[in-house]
Amino acid sequence: MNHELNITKIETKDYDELSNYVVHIEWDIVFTDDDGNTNTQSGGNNFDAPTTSEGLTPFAELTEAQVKEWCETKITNDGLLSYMEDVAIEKIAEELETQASEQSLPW
Amino acid sequence: MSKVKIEGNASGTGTLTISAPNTDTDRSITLPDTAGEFVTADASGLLELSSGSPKIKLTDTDNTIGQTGLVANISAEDSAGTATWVIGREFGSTALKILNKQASSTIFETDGSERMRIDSSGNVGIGTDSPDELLHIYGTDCAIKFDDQQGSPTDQSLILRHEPVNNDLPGTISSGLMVERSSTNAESGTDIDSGICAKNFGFSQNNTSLSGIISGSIGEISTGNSASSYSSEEQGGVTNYVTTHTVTTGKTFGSTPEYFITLLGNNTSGHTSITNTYIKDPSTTSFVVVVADRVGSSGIYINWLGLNTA
Repeated sequence: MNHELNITKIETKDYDELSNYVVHIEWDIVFTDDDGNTNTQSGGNNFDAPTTSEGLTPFAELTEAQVKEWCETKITNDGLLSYMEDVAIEKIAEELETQASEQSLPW
Repeated sequence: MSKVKIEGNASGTGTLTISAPNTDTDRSITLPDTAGEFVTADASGLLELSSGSPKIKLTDTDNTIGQTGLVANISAEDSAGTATWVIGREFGSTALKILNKQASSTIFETDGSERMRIDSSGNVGIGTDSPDELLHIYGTDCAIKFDDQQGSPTDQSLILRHEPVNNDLPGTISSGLMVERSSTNAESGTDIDSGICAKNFGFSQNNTSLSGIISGSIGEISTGNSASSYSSEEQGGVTNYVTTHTVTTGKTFGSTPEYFITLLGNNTSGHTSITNTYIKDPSTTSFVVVVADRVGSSGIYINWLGLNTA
């Protein structure tokens, strides 16, 4: 099961001298099975307040790849990605069961 | 034969005094041996034995009839002549006694650190300098270890034995081990109110390949969309937030055990808003708890138990 995470929303907060610290991100993930069937799920991540400003990337310099990596790391470590993959498999199976399939005319 | 003999009692006081010259700033009295000085008493009150293997020997032969107190002892006195501490043998006994005569602690140290103390009220502390029970042991890891190895099959590392005086009547409690939570001052809210709490509790055959029961708890954990990671799904106009929490057991079961969990919310809404919870991906060392919650910010505690009888 492959997946593609897409960022849909970023929320920031100011902490003392640190402005625009990312505290919340929302995303969609599109799961695609080997047959090309897809399932899309939504979710988000919350980030703790910073303990230091060292090593932080200014908000304006953030890249999509960097933010995606934050989210991918979190959902993997928290076990959420594994759960969502299970849900995707289940949803795709349900959809295939109820889906009417177009047939070639029998004559 | 002695070459020089000095006897006291010449003045009738019974005291023999050997004086160092008081005009000399280095007023010490020394007894030399062939290698140099080996007994020195200096002006500061320091008595030093400095030979290769210094010893103090008290010849413990005093069995004078009618004598009381400690014999063959080493003691210290304050300026008023009152003993502050004494180490010695009690007359009429073979027991060694260590007496702290002050209303203060007796402290045992090794390598510059305190290891044990007996405070003035008799409480014994190991790993703590403020024991609040008759025996108070504090450790950041395993504070007490009962390790009974190479014993016979009937040996036990710990025996809690209780012998009733008479046949106990129905309704009375008579046991070797009793864990009781007092009924006074019942706890409120989410506090645990029980005689025995299965937190980090376990039975095992050995430490690395566990067969038996272990339990633990984690919390407070955020659920809903305040969690570290969550997915969201609309169901009938209501958003369900799903969070996952990986629980590591801290031990390795011999095979994947059955895991059981109970959840406790930090408030009424947090508890009742949870719509579903289950265990996913159980392994010999961990499992994942999946929690679906209707509200955006709840906190939960997870109590878990792993059971493996293989």
